Amino acid sequence: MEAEVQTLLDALADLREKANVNTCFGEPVTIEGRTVIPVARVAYGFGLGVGRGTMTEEGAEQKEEAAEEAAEGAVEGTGGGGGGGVAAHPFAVVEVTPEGTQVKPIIDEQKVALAGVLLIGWTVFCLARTLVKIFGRQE
Amino acid sequence: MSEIVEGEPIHVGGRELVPLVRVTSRVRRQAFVGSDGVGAQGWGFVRLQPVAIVERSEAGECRFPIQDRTAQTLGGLLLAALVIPLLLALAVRLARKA
Repeated sequence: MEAEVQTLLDALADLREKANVNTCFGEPVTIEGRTVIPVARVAYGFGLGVGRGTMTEEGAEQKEEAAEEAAEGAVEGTGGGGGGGVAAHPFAVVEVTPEGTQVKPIIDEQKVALAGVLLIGWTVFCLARTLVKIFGRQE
Repeated sequence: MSEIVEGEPIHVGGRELVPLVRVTSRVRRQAFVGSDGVGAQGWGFVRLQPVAIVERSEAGECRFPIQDRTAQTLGGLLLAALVIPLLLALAVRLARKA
């Protein structure tokens, strides 16, 4: 079990060193003399856990199923779990032509539209409250 | 921990493009040993954000920054959301004086 624990700790320590910077830049695509390189923002993360424990007689007395086994000796159990995820979002496009190189950023229109709608709602709320303060006092 | 790292060069039409990426990472590891058990847990994340691309050719070296337009736009909208109430409060104050 100690070997598995050490392997887990070593794997987490190597997480940063194993990150591939070139993951952000895709394969160049050449069409009609123009080369386009897609660029993305990448993020990944994970969590892991592993353990082994021994149930004492006192603990086993609380569980009817393990009571008999605990009377003969210690009961051992081993468990582990983990989860992770990867996300990649389009970030920009690099265009290489005989005239030169250009970087064209990509805007996430969905996020901007949602933020715009929230801003409009917030503005209407503030405006309504202001009008109530102004005209409400005059009455 | 965050640092800018150079990637492997990309060769396109006689030019060499070197990507620059900001790598942000964080790792936490914990191991525990007791009289009744042993275990370990840990978590980590890595974020790779392109920062710029450097073009190296016979003419020389040129750096092209890669900007996060989405973050800039959202920042502008957030700034507007903070400024609008201030402007309206100023309007209320002026209306009261009038």
